Amino acid sequence: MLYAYGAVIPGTPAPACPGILGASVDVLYCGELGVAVSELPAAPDAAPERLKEHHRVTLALAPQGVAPFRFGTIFADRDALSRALAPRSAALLAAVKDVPGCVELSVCLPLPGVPEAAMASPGAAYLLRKKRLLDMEDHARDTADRLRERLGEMVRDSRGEARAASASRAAAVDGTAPSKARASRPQLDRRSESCEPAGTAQVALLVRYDQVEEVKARIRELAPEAQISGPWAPSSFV
Amino acid sequence: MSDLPDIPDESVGEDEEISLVDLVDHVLNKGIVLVGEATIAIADIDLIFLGLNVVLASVESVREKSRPAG
Repeated sequence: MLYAYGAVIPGTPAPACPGILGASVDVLYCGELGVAVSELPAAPDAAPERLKEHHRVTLALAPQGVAPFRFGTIFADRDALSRALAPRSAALLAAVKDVPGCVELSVCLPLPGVPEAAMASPGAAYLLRKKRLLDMEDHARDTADRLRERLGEMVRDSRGEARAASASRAAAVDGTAPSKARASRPQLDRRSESCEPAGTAQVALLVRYDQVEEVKARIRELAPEAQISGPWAPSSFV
Repeated sequence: MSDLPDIPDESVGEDEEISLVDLVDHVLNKGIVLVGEATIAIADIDLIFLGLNVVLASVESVREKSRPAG
């Protein structure tokens, strides 16, 4: 069976790194699209090593542009691969052409809490909890926008989403553990004092692969509390 | 084989603790999901097959998506 890593621009050379379980990686032509694949005897398990192997291949393809597939995408044969790609090949090609030379950095920043509703009726409390979640999403998008703005031309694109902390998520969903945090906008330059984070802003940044270290250094200057991971294949931007 | 430029690979270094969480988030939770004749399978267990718009994702992601809008 064919294990597919991602769509690439035709003519992209196969990456030098090995693929899943050490298999060689080839780039097949499927119409106007290239697809990086390995021939495997069986579907891989989801062990961390397999995830890393998938990641390494997609990252190695990033300088030429890649639209990474989700881990575990397999096809019976080349015909099945071509038939599956046909309806989306134009869109995938456009997506790949939009990210050549780019990788993704993930930046995790604490989101401050938002006001707890005192003495609210159950219905009002429910609506307020929903509003808190929406506020967190707004904060996360604001954080992404501001980080991108401060990083300037080093960042080609950005995405932001909120991820509630476990306790706060439980509170938001079940109403079982109210947050004690107070309201404020997320800070890029310093952690909010005496404010228990209600969650995190997960910011994805699309940057040039040869500027990764420069961008990381700049982020650490702007937001020492940020946790940065990457580079990753640009899966948030395709 | 290619002459692609090297990319810093610190995120998956052998001694790197980062993050199985990050790895799962990027490799299992993101990425293009093909439908049609694609199969998304792990260890010979088919999770998606033949046009089913089922998405392989973490439990957390499924919870997020299944939460009613509003």
